[in-house]
Amino acid sequence: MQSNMRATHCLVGLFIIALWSLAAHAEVSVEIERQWQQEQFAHMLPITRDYRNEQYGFGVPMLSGVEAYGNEPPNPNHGVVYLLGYQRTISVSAVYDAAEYGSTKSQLDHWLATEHPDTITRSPTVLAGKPAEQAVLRTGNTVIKVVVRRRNEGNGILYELTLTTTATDQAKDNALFDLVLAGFKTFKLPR
Amino acid sequence: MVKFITACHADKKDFFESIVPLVRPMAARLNVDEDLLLALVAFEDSWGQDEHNKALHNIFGITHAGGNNIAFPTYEACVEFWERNYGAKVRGIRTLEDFITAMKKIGYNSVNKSYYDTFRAVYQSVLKYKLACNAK
Repeated sequence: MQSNMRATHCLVGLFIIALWSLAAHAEVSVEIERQWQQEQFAHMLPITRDYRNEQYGFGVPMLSGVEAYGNEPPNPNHGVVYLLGYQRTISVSAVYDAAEYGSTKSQLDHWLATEHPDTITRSPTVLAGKPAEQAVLRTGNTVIKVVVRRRNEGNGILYELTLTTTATDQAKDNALFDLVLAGFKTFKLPR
Repeated sequence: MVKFITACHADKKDFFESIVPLVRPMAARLNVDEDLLLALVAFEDSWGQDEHNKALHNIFGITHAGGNNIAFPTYEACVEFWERNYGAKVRGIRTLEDFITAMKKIGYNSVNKSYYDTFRAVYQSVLKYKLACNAK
């Protein structure tokens, strides 16, 4: 009888320890996520309406239920980042081709030169009706999909759309990325 | 060994002739390597070729709260604005990597992943063309 009670106490004790450990782990995860978000978006402001960038002549829609952020003024306005979750984002941006890459292919070559993934899959694609290049990079559980396109007006503009996600969330995040790609529009540049 | 000599294109010559006199006094006041500031202007103003920025006298891509670029009455006013807002954060910086670290801290561009890698390439272009154009 006594040994049965001791065994029950032991089990209850183990259960309490397991619960405590789970709660502590969840608390640490929340804190890590909070810190990551704070660092990533420290100098950014929320965007609530469909995004339109006059300077670089492009725009993208907002996604229902997804927060989006842009650079905080007076910093330059280069694009928008959608927050999908912890370490999961979509960024849409543009810069002048001041580095003189000269082509979409060269733009992607330079983009990939700084990355060291386990695997890269590269293929041609279309962005807003014009030829573009895409690559999918996998490193461990991290998946990055990038679509680039050089606009050949003036000295050139480099458009860059990047999905950063995990293998686990790839399917649902890819669906959102497809919506952004489909909604990406270019406009006449201001002159 | 093959030696590549970069030609001084007319747009680059114009860039150094018009931007160096604007940026150099600020670089001296802040004790910042002027080539870092020239690279930032080249990047944000497409080597001084952006007609829209010309009309706004905005060589650093400085924006309003609404996101569009601010119009300044003169280029000098734009440089003054930049110095007032960012000068203290880049003061004394002499190297590319320290400048990039400072720009990241400021959040000059937190949107595109490749901005600072491309900035490194633009900085190298500035050094290359400055030499080719004999810009002093």
